[in-house]
Amino acid sequence: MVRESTLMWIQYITGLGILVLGALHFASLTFLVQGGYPNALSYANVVYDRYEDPLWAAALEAFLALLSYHVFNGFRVLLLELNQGSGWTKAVNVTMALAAIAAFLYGTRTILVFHLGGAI
Amino acid sequence: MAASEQKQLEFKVPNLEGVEKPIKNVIFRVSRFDPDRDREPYYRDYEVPVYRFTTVLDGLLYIKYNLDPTLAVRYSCRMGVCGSCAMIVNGRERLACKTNVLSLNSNIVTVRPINNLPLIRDLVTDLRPFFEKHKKVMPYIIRDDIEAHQDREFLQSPAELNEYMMLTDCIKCGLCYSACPTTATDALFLGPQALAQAYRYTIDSRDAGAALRFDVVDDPHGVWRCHFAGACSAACPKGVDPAFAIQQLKKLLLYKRNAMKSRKPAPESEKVREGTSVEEVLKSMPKEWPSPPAPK
Repeated sequence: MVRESTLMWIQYITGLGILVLGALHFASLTFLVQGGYPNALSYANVVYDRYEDPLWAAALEAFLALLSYHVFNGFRVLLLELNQGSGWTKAVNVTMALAAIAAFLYGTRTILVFHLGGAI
Repeated sequence: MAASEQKQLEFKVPNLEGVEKPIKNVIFRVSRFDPDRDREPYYRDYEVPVYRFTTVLDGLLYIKYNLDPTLAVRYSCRMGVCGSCAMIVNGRERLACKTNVLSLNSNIVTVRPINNLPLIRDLVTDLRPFFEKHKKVMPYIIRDDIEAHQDREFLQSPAELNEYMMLTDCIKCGLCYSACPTTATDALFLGPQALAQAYRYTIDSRDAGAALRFDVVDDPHGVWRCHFAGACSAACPKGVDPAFAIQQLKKLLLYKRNAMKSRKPAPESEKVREGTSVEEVLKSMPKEWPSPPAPK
């Protein structure tokens, strides 16, 4: 059984990581694309030029991992405050853990497809 | 003296006639609820003469002794020490005995029981969930040698005392518990009072019970559910800052868990305490303290 303080410590660390990697992610979609702002959010520029690069793909994967934890742990906290009971707690913990894993795996698949030059 | 000869207690409201004239009459809008008759609480208005120094508690007692003896209100010391008369006055958590009616600047004083606790009757709530949580955090000095050294004091410097001094002013009135938004939604949340006391005893240099308290507060419904709204500190009538203590408790758990667990408690004084020994006091104590019957 993981201690609540450990879960919350990771929550704070992932929050800080999201701040950094999220900023990098939005920059990569806008002014860091080739050609600057005029080409911002261009599918080809962002997907092919940026996420074929392994470093950018790794950064996006890390961002996804942080988000998957932070979002679903935050949601778990909200649900535990809204309702109480051992059955509810167990159900929320398991559901949120599975949802985080599912979101992470689905996102990873998308990043891998882009990285390998495919299209969604 | 036989029971039949026992004098009945007399409650008298001070007769202020000739001392001072009432400044104005104020409407007391009081929440009423009789569990045997009412399905839900309702408000009833009473007109109360207000003097320069009339407190909300004085107003409620005026109602009880002059207008409606069925009004249930809990109070004891009448001077902001016991915490019994905690209630919500004009929408804010206050001690009725410390709230001057004129200071409210209103011709209508709305009084209702505190939030987040079961209602027994009128302005009286069942404080048992609140005290259960207080007991859960073990609000006393824990150390292995406490039984062996009953005749000496444990040494503590003024600086060590200052670390928790502010938190010793807690009178357990329940106002912070009533104001807490997390307690309103999470019935298992320990609440600001219990968490602040957990910090108060953990940080005490004489204590060695950090590991035991950490197990209680480091829980899905423990210290981490505090969102630092600060309503508890704003509500406290004694200037205690539970919100601060809770954030400090989080810091202890994150950064000093092992250090606090292995901390050696303060040594004992070499001087033997004078006067009645603790053994003698313990011998004269009843084995079981009488307690009033639980409310139905």
